[in-house]
Amino acid sequence: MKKGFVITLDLIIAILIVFISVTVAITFCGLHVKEKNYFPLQILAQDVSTSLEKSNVLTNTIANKTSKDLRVFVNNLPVNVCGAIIVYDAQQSTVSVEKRECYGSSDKISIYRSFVYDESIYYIRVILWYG
Amino acid sequence: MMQTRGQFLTTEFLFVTATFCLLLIIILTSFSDIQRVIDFESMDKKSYNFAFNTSEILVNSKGVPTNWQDLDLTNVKVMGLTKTNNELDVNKLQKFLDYNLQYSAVKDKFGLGQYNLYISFIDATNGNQLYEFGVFPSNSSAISTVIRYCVLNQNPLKIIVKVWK
Repeated sequence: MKKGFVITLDLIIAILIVFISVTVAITFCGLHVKEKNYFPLQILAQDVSTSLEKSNVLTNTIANKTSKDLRVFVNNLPVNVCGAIIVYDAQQSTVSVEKRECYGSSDKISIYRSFVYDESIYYIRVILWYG
Repeated sequence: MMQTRGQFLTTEFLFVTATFCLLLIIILTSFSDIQRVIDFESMDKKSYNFAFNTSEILVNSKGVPTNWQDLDLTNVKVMGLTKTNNELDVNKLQKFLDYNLQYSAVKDKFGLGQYNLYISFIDATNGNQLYEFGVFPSNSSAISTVIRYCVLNQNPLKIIVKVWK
């Protein structure tokens, strides 16, 4: 007895439909890995720098030469956000703090802002990234 | 000549039919799941936009009219809380918190429609909650949260805006 395949038009159409359906399904499955990146770090960084400038945190930091207030502020950043804040005077960095136990590998965004205290210009650099 | 009709049945046919049915079930299930993901993401993005717009009004708008805190709620168009960007006006904040009793009317001022609103005002230096507004989302799976920073009485303040359905 000789064995063989039976190829009919129905079979060919069925195979084509299966392949097309599988291809479309796999293409649409790409939606599952779409990252949600709604939280704009840039806006958060601007908020942080403006708030620090307008509050007494920066002035206390410079006047008292202590990073305590700034460190507490950085450690209270949102849980999914890591950050570092550096305050410079005209020549060099004077205070630098980073959120504790926060590790992340996302791209970092960085913004600068200048402000005046006691007739001297200072700069603040806010660096944020996802933790 | 007499013709007889019959059915052609082989093991291959049975195997192919079973495989096809299995694949069809997997594909239909997959499409159903994908539709749910699309619906969820669409709703999620919409509620996020509502949350972000609300936070933007709170921390970057003086409100319309700017002295809305002295007026009746019906005459208020926009409930911005600031006197300058990211600097809250104490009187506006207090009036806003007082309006918690008229939650639905305030929610409508932000154009939230069927979505609910919860706002928490937290001291950014120690994490203590100072004030809250709205209804806390105790039993919702679709919550959008936006965190903003501003200043109140020269102290940094963290505002957490939650929009949920």
